[in-house]
Amino acid sequence: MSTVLQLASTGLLQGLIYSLIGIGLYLVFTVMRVVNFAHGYFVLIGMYGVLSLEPKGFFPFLGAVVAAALGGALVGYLVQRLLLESGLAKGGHSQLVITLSLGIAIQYLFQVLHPEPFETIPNPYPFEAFTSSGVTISAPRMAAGVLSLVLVLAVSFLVYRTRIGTIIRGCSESLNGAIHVGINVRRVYRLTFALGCGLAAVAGGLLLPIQPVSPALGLELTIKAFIVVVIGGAGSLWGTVAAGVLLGLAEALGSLYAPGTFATALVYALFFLVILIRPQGLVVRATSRIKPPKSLTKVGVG
Amino acid sequence: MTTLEIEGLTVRRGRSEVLHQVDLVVREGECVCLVGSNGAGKTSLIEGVLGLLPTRAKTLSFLGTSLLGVRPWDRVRRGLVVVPQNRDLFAGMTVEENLRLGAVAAGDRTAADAGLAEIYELFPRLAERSEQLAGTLSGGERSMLAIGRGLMSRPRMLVFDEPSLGLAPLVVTSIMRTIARINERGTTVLLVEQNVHQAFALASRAYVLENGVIAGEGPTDELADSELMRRGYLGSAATGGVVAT
Amino acid sequence: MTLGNPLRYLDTPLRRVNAVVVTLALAFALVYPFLVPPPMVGVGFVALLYALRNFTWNIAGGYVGQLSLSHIVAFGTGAFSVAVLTWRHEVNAWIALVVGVVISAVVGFLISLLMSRFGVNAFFLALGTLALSLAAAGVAASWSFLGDTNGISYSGSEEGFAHLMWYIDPSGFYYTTLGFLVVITIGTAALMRFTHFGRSLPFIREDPVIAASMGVRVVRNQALAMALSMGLTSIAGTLIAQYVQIVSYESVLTVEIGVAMMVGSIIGGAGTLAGPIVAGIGIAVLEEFLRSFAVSSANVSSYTQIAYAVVVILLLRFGTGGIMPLWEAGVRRVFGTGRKPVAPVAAEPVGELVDGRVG
Repeated sequence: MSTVLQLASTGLLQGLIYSLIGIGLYLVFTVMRVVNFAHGYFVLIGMYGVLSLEPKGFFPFLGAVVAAALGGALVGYLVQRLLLESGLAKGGHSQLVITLSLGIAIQYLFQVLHPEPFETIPNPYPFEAFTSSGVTISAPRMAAGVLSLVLVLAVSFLVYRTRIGTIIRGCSESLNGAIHVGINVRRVYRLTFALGCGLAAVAGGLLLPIQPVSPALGLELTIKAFIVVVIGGAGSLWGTVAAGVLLGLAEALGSLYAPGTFATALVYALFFLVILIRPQGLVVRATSRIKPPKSLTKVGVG
Repeated sequence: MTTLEIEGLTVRRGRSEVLHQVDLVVREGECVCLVGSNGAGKTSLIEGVLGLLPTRAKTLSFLGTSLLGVRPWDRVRRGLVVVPQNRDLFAGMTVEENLRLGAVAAGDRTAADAGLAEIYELFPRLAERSEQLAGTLSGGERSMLAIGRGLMSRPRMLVFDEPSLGLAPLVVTSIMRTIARINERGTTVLLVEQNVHQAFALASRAYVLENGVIAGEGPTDELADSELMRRGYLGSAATGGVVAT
Repeated sequence: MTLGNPLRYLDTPLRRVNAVVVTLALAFALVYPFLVPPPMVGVGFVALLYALRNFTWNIAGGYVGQLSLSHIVAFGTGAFSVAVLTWRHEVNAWIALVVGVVISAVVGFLISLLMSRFGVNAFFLALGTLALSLAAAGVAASWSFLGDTNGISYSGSEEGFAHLMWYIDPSGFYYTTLGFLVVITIGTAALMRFTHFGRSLPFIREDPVIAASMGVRVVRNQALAMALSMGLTSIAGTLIAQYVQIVSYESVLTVEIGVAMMVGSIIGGAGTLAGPIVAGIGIAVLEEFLRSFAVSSANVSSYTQIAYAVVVILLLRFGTGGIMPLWEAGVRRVFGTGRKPVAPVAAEPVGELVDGRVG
């Protein structure tokens, strides 16, 4: 029983990190109709960013996470501005292939810079572990989960309670409508993409003390982010958050019954099924959102 | 003073040119209508003026300054506001959020509150439904909300794209009365309509668009008796629609 | 159906130039193994293999627009079928090759059918097929039948064309791959030109709804194209397995392989015959070029992956359709179109601001 409790707790905390990664992708996905296949690689940017800053102690670590987040957001901003913006109007699948290729480029760039796999940093927090009723949670895991939750709440506050959030949601509801009320759609897109990438990078920074980083991790995290967003649905941010927690729990508890690689295979196969059987709810809605409104398809919006 | 001045406007949609060398002037305080059949290029003209479609023009100026090269949202911020044909509401957001987004370009919260009160006075129905999602409104209410949202942007000129489209006759009459009131309060209006009778009743001057070119223009009372209108429009307009020959 | 006089097709300068280039390239490809030492023949084999891989992906990905990553599974199926059947159970390698083709084709047919039936769009097709490939890799990594994490190594002693195996001199692999490439290219060209099925594919890519309204059986043809495409990709997997003599989930079931096929086709020009081939050979040359700079071998593949990604991003960013469209435009500029000049397009008025670009 205590094993199950132990796994559920770690799964829950891991799931909160997935939620944080997921809402970054969710924002980009629903607001801009861009499918960012490089999302997981922005988590990687956060991980390697913190790693290369070699923070010693708690406050340097927090500083490094913030720096990595800003770095990730800046890269995201530039990617949107220089690479994706012009392609949004063209339609087709150019952004799909561009972001996929971008991910590969980032992965192999880190492969060259950090050929050593599974690098990590020691526990940066001023405490060691929490133990309660037979469950032990290491400090970095606890902190990563809690900080992720705080950030998720902060983002939802931003999206649902602030003027900026209303503007972001407006762009997601109707691109034409946003233009008709004078919203600078292009700027909103750039900032949203930067925000999404920044959130991914923060998650990477928080993840680093728990999960050693290798370049190949980017793809896995991209897929997990998509799993979270697809299962969570396009309706609200909370669906994504719930799906993140669910994925964390399923992964942790699944490890009880199936060995590593086979369990991941099972997750991917299930995800494939989800994509197939949810066309009415999610996929169709997402489809209609991915295409820019008709009258704008020929214009370089973004 | 001229509010909107268009000279030699050419608009492309995709690869084809849908408007050719259009000239059009709207003076301050006027209510001008633009009529034409389905596919004549009315919506393309609006989208061209707003900058949503690729255009070329000798002159395209609003309140004395050129709009060429200005982004669509900046045109809106200058006071050129369109109430679009399909309304383009924020369906998943409440009526009030929709209206507040209308004022977002101004960025002034107290002005937005004042504007909101005005809109609710103009459309009491919207006040009743302020917390309802825009996607659940009826056709007439959606129209009202789109107009209200446009007014929230403090327009110098309001362009209505087919405000009568898809509405019951009674609702159309009430919407048209509202447009007249908006114009009386001093907002310049360009009314783009297929429904010639309604439009001519409201506007002082009219332009007739046919196959992407201006086929006629003039004061509405003169134009209504003209050969052009008899030939193409008024005959069939009596049955509600317009068939261009 | 008669082909008539083949020279009849050489009616424009572009076609004539292309005919000359293709003839020269083919002649060069035939004598290449005699001109270089055996290690370079191996490089030539790899180049042709990349070309074959890209080309087969292009049948579904380029002509029909199904941006599939399930071709990873096809590639792996080709490799694993020869590893399991031939290396472990001494079945003839050609039979294993055919088995791989059949399995991959069936899998491709079913995937495409499922995706169409459930109305999955292009993005979800890419995502779903990626998930499927990763699932397959996970299964291969944990199933001893497919060698789990250790992989399967070659065991056998026979050599020659009948066994699809050459130990010392790679020219056997080279010519076999060249043969496959030529036959598949000609076959695809004929299919696209002479059959109703082939001619329907570009229509499906442009707009499936309109294609369906024109009487094209969209779902069936998509599935058949995917089956053909994945079935042929499997051949490339079999050939590379025989060449490197070891197969594991890490060597043949990686996302990089799928992306390389997709990106290679797009760089060359998706939906063109020659594009994927040119890009495949080009990338092999690039790899060799990097090696000559004494870059460590682990980094060679990293640099080529980065180069691949950068090139395709730039191509898409600047809106060119890839190498082949650029080539065609270039040839037309140098040699003319060979058609009667159309009335010159009226010059656009100068000095007016062009408007309407929001981006």
